[in-house]
Parts: sequence; C-alpha cells; structure tokens
Amino acid sequence: MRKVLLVEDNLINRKMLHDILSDDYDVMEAQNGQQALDILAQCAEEISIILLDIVMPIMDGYTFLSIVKNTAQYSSIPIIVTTHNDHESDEVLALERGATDFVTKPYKANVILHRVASLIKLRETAAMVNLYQYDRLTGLYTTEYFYQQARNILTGNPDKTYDIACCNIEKFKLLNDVFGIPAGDALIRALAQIISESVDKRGIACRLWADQFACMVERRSKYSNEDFERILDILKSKFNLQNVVIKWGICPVDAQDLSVEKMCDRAMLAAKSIYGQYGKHFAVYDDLMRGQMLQEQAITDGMQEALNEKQFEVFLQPQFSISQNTISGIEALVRWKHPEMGFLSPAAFIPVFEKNGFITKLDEYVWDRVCEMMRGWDEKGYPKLPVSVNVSRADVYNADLPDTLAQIIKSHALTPDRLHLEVTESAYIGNSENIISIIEKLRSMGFPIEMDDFGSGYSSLNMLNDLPIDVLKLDMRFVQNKTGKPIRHEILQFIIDLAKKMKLKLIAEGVETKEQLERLRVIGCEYVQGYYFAKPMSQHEFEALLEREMANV
Amino acid sequence: MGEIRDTRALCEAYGVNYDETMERFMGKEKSYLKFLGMLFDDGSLDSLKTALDKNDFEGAFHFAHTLKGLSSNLGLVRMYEQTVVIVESLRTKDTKADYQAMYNVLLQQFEKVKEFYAKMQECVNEQ
Repeated sequence: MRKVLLVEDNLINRKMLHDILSDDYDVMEAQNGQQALDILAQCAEEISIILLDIVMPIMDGYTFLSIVKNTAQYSSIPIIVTTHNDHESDEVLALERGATDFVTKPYKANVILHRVASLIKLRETAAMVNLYQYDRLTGLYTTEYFYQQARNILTGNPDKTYDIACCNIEKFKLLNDVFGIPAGDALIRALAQIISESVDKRGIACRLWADQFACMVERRSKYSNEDFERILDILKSKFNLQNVVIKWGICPVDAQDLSVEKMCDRAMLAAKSIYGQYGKHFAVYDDLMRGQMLQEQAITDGMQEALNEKQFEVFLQPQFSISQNTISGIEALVRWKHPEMGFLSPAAFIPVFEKNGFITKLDEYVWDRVCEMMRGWDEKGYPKLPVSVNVSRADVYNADLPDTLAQIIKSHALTPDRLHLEVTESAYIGNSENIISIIEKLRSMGFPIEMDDFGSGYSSLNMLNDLPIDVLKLDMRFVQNKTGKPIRHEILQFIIDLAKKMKLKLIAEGVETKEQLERLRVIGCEYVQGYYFAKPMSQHEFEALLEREMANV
Repeated sequence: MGEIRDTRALCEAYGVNYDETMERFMGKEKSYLKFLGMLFDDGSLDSLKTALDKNDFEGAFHFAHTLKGLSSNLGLVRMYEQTVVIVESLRTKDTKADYQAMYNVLLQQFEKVKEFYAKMQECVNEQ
C-alpha cells in the first residue's frame, strides 16, 4: 500500500483522518511539522502524499510547507492542506506557498480519498514522463527523446550546421566482467557527465544504450584527435584506469532527409571502423563506409534467397594425423557463391548474419548439408570420418538446439558422434549458465564438443573448466603471433600437456609452414589442420582427395 | 426531555445533522461515538480558558480554532457556531470583547454535548 504522511496536531482530527485513509493507505502520523520532517528524513522516497494541517503549534503549517518545498528530496511530494472553508485567504496562501491542493473541514471522507488518489496518480504519471525523457542511470536524454529533440533543433535552425557524434567504450563487456557491474555503471555515469559538460549549450546528448552515447552539436571547427583524447584523459584520471578506450564516430548533418537515427547509425559505423586502431580516437563517416554499408545491405537483402537457391556451399578442410599421415577428420566451412558479388568469404557475411540473427538458419543448413554428405560417403564405403561444424552464439540461445540437431542426425541415419560441434569463446562469454547446460545436454546425447580458438580470447581457462569438452583446437595465430615471435616453448608444451592430462584431443589449426609443423611434431602435438596440408575445398575435390588416399593405403 | 430511544431523533434534539455527520463516519454510529468521546479528553477547551485568563489572545485564537475544527468534524453545530463567534472576534484582535461571556456560552454548549454523548451511548448500547 502506498504511504501517506498525516501532519495534524489535534488527536481527534488526526484519528478521524487516519480512519478515513487507513483502508486504502498506510498512514504515518506526525503531530507537528518537526515530527513530520523527522519522518521524511527517514523515508521520503516511500511517501506518496502529505496531508497537512495548516494551523499547528511548534512549527506552523506554512513553515513546514516552505521547508518541504525547498528541499530537493521532498519537493516533489504532493501536499494537501486541510483548512476551514470559511477563510479563503488561508487556502490561497497555502497554494502560493506550494501546497498542491486543499480540503476543508469538516472532513468529507469521499472527497478526501478522491483528492488523495487523484494527486498521487498525477504525480506518478508525471514521474513516468520523466522516465521516458531521461535515462535513469545517467540523466541524459533517452534515445527516443533525443531523436525527437534533435529533429526539433534541426528543423528550428535551418541556418546552422550540426554534427552527430557517437561514441562507445571498446570492450566494455570485458570491463564489466573484470571490474563488476557497479564499476561499469559508475564509468558510464562519469562518461555521461563529461560528455554533457563538453556538449554544454552547443547541443544535446543521450545514452543510446549500454555503453553507447550520441550527441548532436553545432559544428565549430574540424575535429582533432586531441579533442577526444581530452575526454578520455578526464575519464582515465577519475578512475585511475589506464586502458579504457573510447572510439568516436562523426556523421556530419548534411542531407536533411536522413532520420536522426540513421545518422547515429552512420556515426557508430564510423566509430566501429577504427576499433583496435591504437591512437585513433575518432573517424568521420565517409563513402568507404557507405560502400561497406551498401554491401551489408545487399547481403541482408539476398540472404534468404541465397539459402533457398543453395548459393551457400559447404567447403571442407581435412585434418591430418602427423604420425600416421592420414586424414583424421574434417572441418566444414561455409562459402557464398553470390550471383553478382562472386565468392564471398565468411568474414564478409558471417558478422552480418550474427547481427541480424540469420546465422541460425545458415548454421542449420550447414549441419544438414554436412550430414547429407556423410550419409553419401557411408553409402560409398568411405572411412567414417567425423566432421566439425560451427555452433554460433545465437544458436546456443535457442532452447530447441538439441532437438534440432537430433532431428538432423536422425533424418540422415547417422549417429551423433559423427558430428563434432565447434564452440567458440564468444558463444561462451556472457552466456555461461545457458551454454553450460546446453552443451552438457548435447554431449550427453553423444555429440563430441570442440573448443575453437583456444587461447586467443580471455576466458579460455574458465571455459575449459566449465564445459565438458572433447577436442581443443589451438589456433596457430596464438602459437605464432603477428610479430612473428614464436610463443614460448614452455607455454606451448604446457598446453599440450594440459590437453593430454585432460584426455582431450588437440588439433593445431592454421598450420602454414614447415617450421610450425616441426615444432608441433617435436612437442608431441598429434593432429594438424592448415594450408600447409590442404586448403578448404569443395565436396567434389575432397572426395577426390579421399579416394586418392584410399588408393594409396 | 423525555426518553428518546432513537439515535436519529437524539441527534435532531441536540442540533446534530444525523445524515451529514454519520456520512463522515461511514454511517458507523460506534465510530462516531468513539471520536466524540475523545473530545472530552482533548484539552483545548481548558487551554482556551487559561489563555483567555492570561489575555494571551494568540494562544486563545489557536485553541478556539482547534475547537472550531473539532466541533465541525463532529457535527456539533451549536458548539461550532459558538466557537466561530470567539474565533472571529479574536481574529480581528478585538481586545475589548467580553471573552469570558463568550467562553461561558461555549462551556454550556460543551456540557450539552456531554449529555448528548451519554444519551447516545445508552441508545447505541441498547441496540
């Protein structure tokens, strides 16, 4: 029940009012203004309305009214003043001093209840409008309100030029994971504050969502890296954090026919284009990005049709056993043979599909195709090699996943042990409970689980600890990074030993040179995959390869 | 006054508007009597006397005002009207008015209310 604070010095009046209100409200009583202030100090947030007798001893009603109206935490609580109906000046004065309404003695129960209910409702509705306009965490505008306000400003100032600037904290999720959500929130609030101060009277700002902000400012001069570095420096010094990275994207408001939302999208696109680029704090949206966006649009427009017309091809890359020099397994990879754009690599379309959710349809298609191939091979008498397929982050969110896979396996008369499920770290992060239960279920159904890209992310060990895994895939990029510096021998040996101890099959993928192969051979890694041995190839080429191998045995 | 067994008639006799007053107490006579009874523990009348004796007009105003509110809430019209007399006089800061006389009339009314209360109690208990 909502709480009502009753401030009335006379016992009888107080009890009468209490009686009137107590069925519908939780009534708190104060005999004078001072007591009422004490109660407010304890629980102002919970009090929906105050009923105040204007004539009171110790602290008279007007004084109390004044104090409440001038105290920030209390000022929004509606106050109904109880008066006698013969002296209008009392009422007018009370209203002038900030009372919201008044009721006269003698108390008429239904009138009082009605007034109280209606004022409380009014206040709560007004509060909701506030919620709609202002983001609760930061006090900046909400996205919708920002779009509206921005549009208003643009329409109202046709002679001024503006820019939309959006920013986002790189790897914010990681910061949250490492430092905790309250710390993440504090960071966001601080950044909002700094942005708000920088924008000041030249524009408006909002929190788009999570760690993304947008603002619209009057264009002053060309932007420089230093402008944005300054913001970052303030933030870093506040939190004593050295490795916060914020990327800004600017979209100049030129064409008036673009919606504010679209301009923000473009600004964010520009920001994303410089992810990972050290030292670059901002980027301005330009035609190169426009080209990317158009391609993305074309991809999205054509994807369903592509699926229907089987434009997606499953390519196969064999894995080899070093000691036996034979094919030990296969990884399935998808390629898109686009009628206009030609062969598209997964890097072009997979991120798009992951964003728009199409990835689950594509993955299902791949699983089905792979099983279809395996059934064909079984019938031809080929060796029963397992094929690894990708399970995306989006797939794991689908509770039907185990059923879907079971169904596909069954429809091709195969056993689950033939289909290896590759899970990457990105599917695991931020999703642990969900993925753990799904993976356990899949494994219990007989699907072997492979962990992809081991070591290249942040949570590999956690993942290894939490998930039931059968195969580790070690990416050679981890083994030999961009600077060409080989990973320390001890670390590599450690990983090999770890895999052996946990009875995991270890496959090194991305093996491109003889040196890498030798290193792996020396430390006892058994299985390899990479361009050094075989590139991903079509089904046809793979079957030819397989037949050659079978002939050689 | 002869024996009156009906609460409505009793109210009528003492100048209390039965319907209007009971409405404020959701028609519950017992509730009304509970609050009416509290009037006799309320010290305002005595405090009024004390204030008037001391010529503390501000204090007197406050207590008279309280009594005005109470009598109004309790539907005690005759007592209410007398409090109004005192209140208005005090409001104009008329120091020459015969407050003692006004008080005495009020006291009389108050005694009547006590009577009214006792009779109402009897009536309600018999029901």
